[in-house]
Amino acid sequence: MLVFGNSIGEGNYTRPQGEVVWFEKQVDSNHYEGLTSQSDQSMTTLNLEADSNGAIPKGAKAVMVYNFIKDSGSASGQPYLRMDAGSDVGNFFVNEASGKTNDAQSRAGGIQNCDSNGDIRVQMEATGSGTLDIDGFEYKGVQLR
Amino acid sequence: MAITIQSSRDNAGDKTVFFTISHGGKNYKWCGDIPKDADAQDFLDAKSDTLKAEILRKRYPQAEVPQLDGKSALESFEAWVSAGAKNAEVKGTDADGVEITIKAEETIAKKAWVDIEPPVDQAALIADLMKKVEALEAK
Repeated sequence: MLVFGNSIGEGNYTRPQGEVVWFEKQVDSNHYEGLTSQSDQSMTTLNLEADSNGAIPKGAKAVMVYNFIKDSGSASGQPYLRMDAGSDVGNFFVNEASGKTNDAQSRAGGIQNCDSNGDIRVQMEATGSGTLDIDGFEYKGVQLR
Repeated sequence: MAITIQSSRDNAGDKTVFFTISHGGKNYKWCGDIPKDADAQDFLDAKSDTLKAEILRKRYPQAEVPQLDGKSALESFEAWVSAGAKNAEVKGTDADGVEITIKAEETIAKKAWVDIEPPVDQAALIADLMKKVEALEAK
């Protein structure tokens, strides 16, 4: 029997598992893009489907993200933006601006795995009150389950 | 006055104000960014409760504070601390509908506070020293 896909399905095709789809155009985060004057935020769940206007489907396995942040006290403090897929797995994607000149941009791109719902959590640490700016927060791609 | 301003520094789009704020019998030296055209004292005084809640967030970063009915965010946080700084137990149900504990009650440790001091103006210090050296040399 001739099978074109890696398993038998309608039309002899099933979508490959773990497929990575890179977006043709970056997708800005509805919530975090351009969010200025921020203070500390504990790990907060982010619904990726809603935050990307549906570009990231429900139940995604991982997302490719790029963001750039700055903090007016980065020269002496430890500001950062980090993400995780739940409290049990710890954080993975981290953009830390520590040690940079005050208000100098810190840029980071990478992959963040999602929780079983296809969501992530985001935490922010600012050096002072309202000192952290998220100048950009973009999705570049998604890994499907 | 709960907030005393030490100094301020202009940034590209705003200004950073260094201040001391009292809360719970302790003085905290901290800083915050405010709009360039704002009066620092008025701005920070109006934001006093928010600043105190943010300080509690710094001291208890893992706190999961329930918002109490009719209480502000600060009052809710203070009540959470007074009750032992414990994150509540999280319960759920398994596939058979039986109630299970997903996460046990957890006491959150208090982090030490690190004061933020206003930056030292090194150019002014050097200029001051140079003046003293020149005065000594002139004698």
